[in-house]
Amino acid sequence: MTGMVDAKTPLEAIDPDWAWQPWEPSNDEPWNEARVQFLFRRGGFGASIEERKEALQLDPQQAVKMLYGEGSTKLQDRLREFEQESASLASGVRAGGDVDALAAWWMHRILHSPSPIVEKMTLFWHGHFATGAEKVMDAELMYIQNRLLRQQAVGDFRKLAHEISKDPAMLIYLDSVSNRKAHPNENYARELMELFCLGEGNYSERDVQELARCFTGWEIRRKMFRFNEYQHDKGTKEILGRKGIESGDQAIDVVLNQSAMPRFVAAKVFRYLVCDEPQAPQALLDPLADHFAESGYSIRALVDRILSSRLMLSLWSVGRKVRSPVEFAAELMRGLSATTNLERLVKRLKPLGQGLFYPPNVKGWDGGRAWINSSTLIGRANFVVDLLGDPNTRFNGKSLDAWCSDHKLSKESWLEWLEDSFLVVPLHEDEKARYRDDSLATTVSLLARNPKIHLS
Amino acid sequence: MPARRVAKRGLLLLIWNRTAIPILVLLISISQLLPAAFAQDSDVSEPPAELLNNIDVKQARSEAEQWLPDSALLYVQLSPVEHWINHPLRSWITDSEPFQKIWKSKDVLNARSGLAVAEIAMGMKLEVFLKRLTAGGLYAAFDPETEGIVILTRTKDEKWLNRTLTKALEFAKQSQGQDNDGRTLKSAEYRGIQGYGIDKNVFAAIGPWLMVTNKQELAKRVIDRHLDGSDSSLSDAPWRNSATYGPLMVVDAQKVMPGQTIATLEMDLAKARELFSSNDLFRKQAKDFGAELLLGGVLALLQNAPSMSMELNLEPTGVSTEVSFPTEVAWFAESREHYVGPEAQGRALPLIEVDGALASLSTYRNLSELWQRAGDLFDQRVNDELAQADNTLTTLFSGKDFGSDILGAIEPEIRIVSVPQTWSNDRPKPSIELPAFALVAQLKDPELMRKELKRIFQSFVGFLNIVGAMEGQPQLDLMSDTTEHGPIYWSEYVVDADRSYENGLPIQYNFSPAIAFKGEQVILSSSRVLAGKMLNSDLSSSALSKGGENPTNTVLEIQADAVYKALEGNREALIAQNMLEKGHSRAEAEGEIDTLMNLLGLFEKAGMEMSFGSRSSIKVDVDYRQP
Repeated sequence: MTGMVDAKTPLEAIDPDWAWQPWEPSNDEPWNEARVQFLFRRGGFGASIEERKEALQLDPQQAVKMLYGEGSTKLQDRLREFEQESASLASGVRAGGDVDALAAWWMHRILHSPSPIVEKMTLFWHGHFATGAEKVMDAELMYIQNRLLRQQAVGDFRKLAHEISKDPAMLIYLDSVSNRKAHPNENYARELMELFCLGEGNYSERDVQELARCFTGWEIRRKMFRFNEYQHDKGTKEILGRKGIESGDQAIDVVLNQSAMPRFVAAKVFRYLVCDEPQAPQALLDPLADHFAESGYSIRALVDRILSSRLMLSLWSVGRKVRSPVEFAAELMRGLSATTNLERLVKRLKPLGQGLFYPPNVKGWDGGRAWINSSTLIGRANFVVDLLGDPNTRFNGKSLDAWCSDHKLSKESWLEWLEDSFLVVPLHEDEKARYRDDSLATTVSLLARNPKIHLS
Repeated sequence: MPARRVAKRGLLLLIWNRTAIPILVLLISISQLLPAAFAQDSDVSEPPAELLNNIDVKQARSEAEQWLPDSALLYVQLSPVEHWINHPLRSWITDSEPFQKIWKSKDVLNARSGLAVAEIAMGMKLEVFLKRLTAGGLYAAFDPETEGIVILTRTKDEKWLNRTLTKALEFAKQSQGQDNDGRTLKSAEYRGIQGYGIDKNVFAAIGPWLMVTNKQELAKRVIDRHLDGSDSSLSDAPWRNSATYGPLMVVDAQKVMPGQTIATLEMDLAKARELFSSNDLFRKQAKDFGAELLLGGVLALLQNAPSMSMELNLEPTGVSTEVSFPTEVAWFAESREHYVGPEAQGRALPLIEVDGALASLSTYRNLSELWQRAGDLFDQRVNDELAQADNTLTTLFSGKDFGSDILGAIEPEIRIVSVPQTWSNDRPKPSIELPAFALVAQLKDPELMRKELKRIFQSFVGFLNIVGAMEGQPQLDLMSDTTEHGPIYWSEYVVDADRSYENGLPIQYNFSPAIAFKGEQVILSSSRVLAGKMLNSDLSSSALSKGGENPTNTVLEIQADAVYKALEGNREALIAQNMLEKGHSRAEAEGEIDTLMNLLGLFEKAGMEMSFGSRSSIKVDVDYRQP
């Protein structure tokens, strides 16, 4: 640990100038396998044994690039091949029009993408711009939205905000299929400011009404966005103190130009990547928000600053997040190089609280401690049993025993290996005695009942 | 690794592999068993065929049936392996590309190595072993009283059996010593017959017969009948008087003739009904409308017939199987007349022949009667659902009563044809390609119904457009034409010029619903092109010539080429499904789909024929493609 902070240092006591400086290895804090695993866990969905070895050969900055599928011709080739394969797979899935199959396709990307950070952030934006398939009822529209979230997952936040505002799935979800000047629909206007860009307290009810007037004439017809100029309120509007706003796009720019916007986005990304609680003090977030604004609202600039920072890689952040069901499943599978029936896998995640394409409401998933309760804890243990017992589950194409044998894991050593690979808080000796079993599958399912394995 | 372990591991792999391999490996056991690679051992060479041919199979069967208890529910006979192993089907399988691929795969190579070790230990090739083991046939029964299965095989002779058994026991004892898996080989004598057991399984030599069973009690019953004789043996069971089967094949398979039976199965249906009374198959009221429509007549047989017989036949170009039931017309209650016609005389019309057809079906089903008799046939839940559907359909068909006016407008002889569709290259095609299908039926009152159905069709298209518009779905354009054979009315989905169809057209574009009239026949088709083809086809309505006591109720023919074409058009979707359902990589999924397609390419066609009368039957045959 650094001399500046240790694992118990309260968040408010952390010096912001220190926190966001790039982390550099030292004799006390070497670039080791534990750090590689942590980086891949927070910046992706865990790493396979092979990926860990590969990243260990790189420096931390290069390792962050590796999360984007960059840094070597080999990785770039792999990314290109993967994107071709995934597009082809998407084509087959879209033809079927089944949201569960689409969720399975996304899980395939989460498990196999050579740029895991893109999938990680796509999942973040899915929770941020939450849209549920149970209301949209159209797999193709959900796919189109998911593609947009992925295209801008580490791209330009301004562009993302503009495009999501015209996204058919989003507008259907927020009952904004038609927005007439006689009856402006305030739903989208409110959520744009409250949930997507500014947060509560940074706008007034009057701003909501005026913003809704700007969006009049925005319609979804035959599953496509359309501007109906005859239904657009052409009167003058005043939003957030700016007068003379005419169109919806101008209004979005006014919202995006608020100083609260970068702070709001930085705080949400901080919570997603660094720690669930407590809420970060504004002083700690300000450098991040400034960096985000200075970069022209580049999401990648924000994410890179966080991932390569001292605060992240000094390991202060270790164990400060609860794995979401998708993260838990994906990290387990990537760690064991596992493949399985993905349609069944995504269905099994729903009762654990995270169905892909099915966020609970417009606020998205609460995350943090809300992931875990007595029911979901047992559910996660059962999930492991079902997953490892599924006849379609293979480990690098083999049985679990054969995979263990390939990696020289014996029944005497696999509990320690699991502890090193998946746990961020060490097990006590009595816990180890309880979990040690002749079967790796049983050991993992026993471990899944221990809250420690759900910390990231 | 010790040789026996290799053998054991190989055989386990052979049994437990969960892919398509076991099916073909099973075929290996039946047809190929071992290639020339293992033939160099002179001890394992094949004996002259005449050594085995002097066993009277009829006599052997009679003996087996006297030893098996009359309480048996199921009875299976298998013709001596010697008699059918050289059927041309064998070389068809072993020469095929998918077989060769699997034959050389790692898993099968392991199994082959294991098998080779076992053969050396036994001193003979597996093929020779099986021929000698089943020289007089194999007979098996399931006895619900003891909950046991017993297999009796009439081997070549007593001397060979004892010698082979001694070697096998020696092999088993040595394996047991090495594996130390806690399973012990026990031996015991019962009334002078030495028996051996591993776990609950028992085997014993009774003269030239080998008996294997999973229940000691059943073994004792068989031995008692063998030693004492009995008037309560399977040969005396009354239910078997009504069961029939063809004579088991006893000629050289190289001179195979049509319909030579290699295996039979008989079932005591009365006992099955008693044991499984809660099973849906034996319920008087169906739970499912689709099951009644497809299998109503068969369900009547299962609920009334005393027995059921099944034969597996070798044909010159394929295999066929026939399930038959002794039948009394009275079993088809009035409520099932919709299925078999009055006095079970309902007859299907000849199949309609269309170039490139995927499937062609002709059947007798009085749909109007089925719809209106639903109250007698189904439980409350199904009837509630049907009442709801009836309301919706009556609205959809412009206020005409669906059961009596719409379904009642056509005669019960119905024919359906399905063909894969072709798409021009100058416009996008649907992302999932579905085959087209058409239904042909004769109108009861052609003059009146032509006008009515035309109007209903127009309303139907209008209805689809209104519903489609509300849901943002594409719209149908209505068109008509008059050909030399009759009028045709159809509609086509309009391709929206404003939309980009980056992933191909939506699934609806597979359909261009059409209705056409040819003489007294009405053609309802999912595609205008197919409706046009049907207008040009021979739709003559003379009944199939096969009639008499057992009129043909349903005929179905499926062409493998056309199925192949239909699947090929959806290869990407199949690969995607495989990857997501099995977690396969793209290469693995492609391999599996290609193997499936290659297997399909080996077949020519499949057919099914269902007849009802004094002896009702369902016959299914599969023809393979000639090399």
